[in-house]
Amino acid sequence: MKPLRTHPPEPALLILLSLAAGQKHGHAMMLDIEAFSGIRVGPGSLYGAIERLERDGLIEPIDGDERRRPYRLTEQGRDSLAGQVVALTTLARLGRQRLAGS
Amino acid sequence: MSGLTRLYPKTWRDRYGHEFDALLEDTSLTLPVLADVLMGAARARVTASVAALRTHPPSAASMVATTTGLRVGAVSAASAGMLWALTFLTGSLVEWGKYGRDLGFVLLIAAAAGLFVAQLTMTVDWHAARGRALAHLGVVVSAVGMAVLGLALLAAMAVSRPWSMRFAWTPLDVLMAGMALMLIGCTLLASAWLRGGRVVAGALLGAAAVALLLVSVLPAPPPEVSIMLDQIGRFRGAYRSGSTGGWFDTDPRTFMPAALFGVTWMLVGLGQMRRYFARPAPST
Repeated sequence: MKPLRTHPPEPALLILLSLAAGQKHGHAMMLDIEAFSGIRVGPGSLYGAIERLERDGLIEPIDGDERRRPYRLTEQGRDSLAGQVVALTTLARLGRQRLAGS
Repeated sequence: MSGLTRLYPKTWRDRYGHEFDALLEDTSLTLPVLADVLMGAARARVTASVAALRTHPPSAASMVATTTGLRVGAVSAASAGMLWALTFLTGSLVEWGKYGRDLGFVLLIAAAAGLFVAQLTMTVDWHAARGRALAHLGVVVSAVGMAVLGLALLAAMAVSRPWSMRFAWTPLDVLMAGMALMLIGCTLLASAWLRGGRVVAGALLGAAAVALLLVSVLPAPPPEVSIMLDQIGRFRGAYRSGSTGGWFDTDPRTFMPAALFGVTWMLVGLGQMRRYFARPAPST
């Protein structure tokens, strides 16, 4: 039987999850995301998502090394992550119920 | 800043360039990583263009000029590119090389004029500051080329055949010189596109124009190679009456870059049409 493919989560969600454990620069985020999810986010996708998250005010850079600038979650980013986790948990619970009933 | 980072728009590089460079240094450059970076650069360019349109909406006059430029440029490029490719692929140039005023001659002049109009309108539509001077220089060189083409056409109509009995330089030679100038103009436009980020169109146009120029100036191949090329040409159905040995015959050395040149302009025309239909509606 052919293995089923699932869509990986959005890089933005993975970045928020990574930064929820503390501030990190780009490369540290890539290693952390691969460690907790097994997903390799490429540099282009990572910085595309970082740009969007920073523009939306969900993460912010911290002053320091210009080449390895760390980022952290903002309050708004923490709220957004919490909201997404609740939505995913609800979906997961519903999925389990429906699969059990079928 | 690394070459890959330079693919991103300037505003993006100013903000993230150093960080991105450092990340690329820490990451092994595999094919998937390269593809991801290229996709990221394309996304960043689209985002930057949309943001620029939002912050600096074009004036009504500029919108009209752009719309007209896109419309005329699209039709000219697509139809002239098709004419150009057809002219070389059907082999009718072999005939006008000998007799002066047959269909191939008219088609080629029409194609060259169409390409010039396309080049001119696309330069009007050109907004990237980095490539502007090159694009304008390309149009000037092409304009001189078109003038030479026109003079050659008049001369061809005025003199009796065979030309070589009266002139050291036949009208055909003058016409080819005009064509060479047009190709140089196209090469300059291709450079402008490359500098301005239109990488695929610039690379294709540049490669085709340079290949055609090289074919024009390189010496003829030795007889055994010519015979082989003749056979390929016949096999592909491109010949009507064999090689003339002139600058533009239909041997594969010529018609392959010529076809690429024509097809490139057709693709550029189709791209312009897509931009025309995707353009934002002018504000009232």
